[in-house]
Amino acid sequence: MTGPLLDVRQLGVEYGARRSMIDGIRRRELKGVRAVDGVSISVSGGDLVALVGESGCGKTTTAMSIAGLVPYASGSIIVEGHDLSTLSSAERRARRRRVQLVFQDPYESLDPRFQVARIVREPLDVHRVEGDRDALVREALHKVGLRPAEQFLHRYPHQLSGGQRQRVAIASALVLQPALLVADEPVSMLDTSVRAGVLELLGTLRTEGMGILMITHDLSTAARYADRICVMYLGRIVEEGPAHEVVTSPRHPYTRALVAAVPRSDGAPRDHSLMPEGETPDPSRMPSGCRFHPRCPVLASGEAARLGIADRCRGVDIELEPEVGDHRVACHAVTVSITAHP
Amino acid sequence: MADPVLRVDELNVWFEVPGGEVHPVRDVSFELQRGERLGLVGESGCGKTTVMLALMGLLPPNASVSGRVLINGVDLLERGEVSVREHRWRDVAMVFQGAMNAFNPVRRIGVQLVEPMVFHGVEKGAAAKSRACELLELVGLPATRFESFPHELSGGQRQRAAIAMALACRPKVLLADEPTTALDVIVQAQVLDLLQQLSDDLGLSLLIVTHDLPIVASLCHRSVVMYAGQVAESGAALDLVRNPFHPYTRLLHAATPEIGGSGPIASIPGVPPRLDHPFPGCAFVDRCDVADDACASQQPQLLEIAQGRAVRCLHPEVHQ
Repeated sequence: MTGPLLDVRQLGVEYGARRSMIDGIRRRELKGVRAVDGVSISVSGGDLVALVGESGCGKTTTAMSIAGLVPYASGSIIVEGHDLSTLSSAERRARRRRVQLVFQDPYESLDPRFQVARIVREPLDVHRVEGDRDALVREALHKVGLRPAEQFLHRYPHQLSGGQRQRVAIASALVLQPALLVADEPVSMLDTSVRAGVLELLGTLRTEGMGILMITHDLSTAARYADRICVMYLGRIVEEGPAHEVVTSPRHPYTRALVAAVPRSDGAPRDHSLMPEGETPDPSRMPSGCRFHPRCPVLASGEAARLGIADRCRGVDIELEPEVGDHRVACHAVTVSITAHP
Repeated sequence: MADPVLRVDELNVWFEVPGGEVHPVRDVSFELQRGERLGLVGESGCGKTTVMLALMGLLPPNASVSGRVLINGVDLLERGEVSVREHRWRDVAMVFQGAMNAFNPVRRIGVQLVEPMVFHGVEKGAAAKSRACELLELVGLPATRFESFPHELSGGQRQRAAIAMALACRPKVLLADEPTTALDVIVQAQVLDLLQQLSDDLGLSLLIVTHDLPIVASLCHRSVVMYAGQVAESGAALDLVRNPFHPYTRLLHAATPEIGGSGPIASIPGVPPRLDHPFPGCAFVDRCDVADDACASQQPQLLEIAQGRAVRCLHPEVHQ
C-alpha cells in the first residue's frame, strides 16, 4: 500500500455547540468551544508519532475523533486511503476496525467483573469475527507478553499488576489486528519501574509494521520512543518534527518552555527566562493572533518588539509553516529569523 | 548539627485486614532539619504515603503504630490522637495529593483558609482574614481570591491555595504528598519553585513524597528511597542519583526517562513482595540484578557506609 495509514487533514472538533429548545425558539446563536482547530497528522506503517501537550490542549479529543468516539466538525480523517466521511456507515465501521484505541487508565478501562479471556474476546464478538476466536485471544495475549496465555485467561483484572492490566488493554486492541493503534497516555498511570516494558511493547509493534499514534504529556518519554513529535497548544499543532530534534533543539517558545520545565536528575537549575506566565487560558476565550502570545516569553522579554513582530504576534494568527524540511513551527519569531538568516 | 525539627525513629505501621495483618511501614527512620527539603521516593505501595499519614495522625482506625515521631523533641505518638491533635496543622501541616479535591466546593477559599486558624486558636476575626489575604499573596495569588470559590481557580491556583491553607497556622514542617502529579509540567515547575522559595524564605522544613526521582534531585537536599515499606537508601539527593549504592535506586533511575537523554529506558522485572508477612531475606531480592543466595535468606540492615549515606543491601555498589 502506498501513502500513510492515517492521514488527518485540518481536523476541527467543537464542543458545547448544543442548542437547547429555548435557544432554538429564541434563535440564539451559540458558539462552541473549538477544542481542535486545523490539526493535520499523518502516521505511516512502522511509524510511532507522539502527540504531546498539556491538559486541555485537545490531544485526547484528537485521538477520540480519530477513533470515532467524538464527531468532528471539519477536515477529514483518511484511513488507508479511504476518507471516513465519504463512506457508508457499514464501510466506516469496517475501516474503524483498522484503528484501535488504548485508554489511559487500565484500572478503569477493564471491566472488573470479566475475566481476561472475555475482555480480550469481546471485540471479536462485537465485530463477529470469523474463525477460532479463542485462538485469536491467546495469540493476542502472547503478543503483548502475557505468556503463557493460558495462565492469564481466567484471571480478573484485580489479580493483575498495573503493567499486566495495560497489556491486557493493548491485547484487546490488537485482537482485531488493526493497522493503527491510538494509545492515549499508555503509561501515565503505571509505576516508573514497569513503564519501559509497555513502551517497548509499543516499539516492537511498530517495528512489525504497525502505525502508532501515542498521546502523551511526557516529552521525555516521547523523545525516546517516538519517531516524530507533534506539540499541541490550545487546539493547534505548534511544532512538529523528528522526535529527538524537537526535544534537543525546540524552536517554538512553548516547546522550549515545556522542555525547560521538566525536572532533571542532574539538578541543573531551570532556565527561568524560558518559562511562560500563568496557565493555559480557557479555550472558550481564545486569544487573538498567535494563541501563545499572552504567555510568550519572547513577547514579554521585548525580543519580539526588537524583531519588529510584536503586533503580528498579538494580531495575526499563525499556523504551521508549509513544509520546509521536516521540522515545522508555528511562530512569527521563528519565521522572521529564518527569513533574516536563511 | 542542630537538633532536627522532625525526627522519625523506628516507625512501624500495621493494618488489621480480614484474615491477617499487613505491615506497610517497617522501621523507617529519618530526620529533618530546619529549612531542609527531604524527598521520600518510591513507587505505589512502598509505604511513603502511609508514613505521611502517620506523621499527621490520619491513619484509619484499623492501623496500629509503633516508634517515635519527635517534633522539637516532643513525641507525637506518646499519647495517641490527643498529642497528635496538639501538633497537627500548628507544627506539622500537609498538602494533599490532588489539590482539586482538598477544598469544599461550596465554600469560598478565604473562609476555608480562616477556618484552621480559628480552630487552632492562632488568629481570629479581622486578623485571621488579613492573614488569609497575606497567605494568598505569599503563594502568588491575588488577595481578591479570598472571595473566590474553588471551581473558579485553575488546577495550579488551587494547588497554591492548598499550600496557603497548610501554612495558615505557621507550621514548622510541611508535608507534601505528590504535590504536582495532577499538574501539567509548566504549572508543576511553578509550584516546585514556590515550595523551594517558601522553604528558603520561611525556614520551613519540607517533606515531599513523590515517585519522581528528578523532582527530588532538583528540589531536595536529601532523599530517602523506600521499597516495600523499608528505607532502601538515603543520602544527599544529587549524590544518590549520581552514585546509587542500592541496586533499586540504580534501576529506578535507569527506568526514569530524562529529557535530552537517548536510548531506551529499562524496566525492573517482577513485582514488589507482599507485605503481609516478614521477608526471609532482602525485600528486593526477586527483582534485583545482582542478588545471590545470601540475599534470599539474610535480611540486610540499614548501614551508614559513607558520610550521610545509608543503604540496606548486602552488596552495596560503592565505587571509588
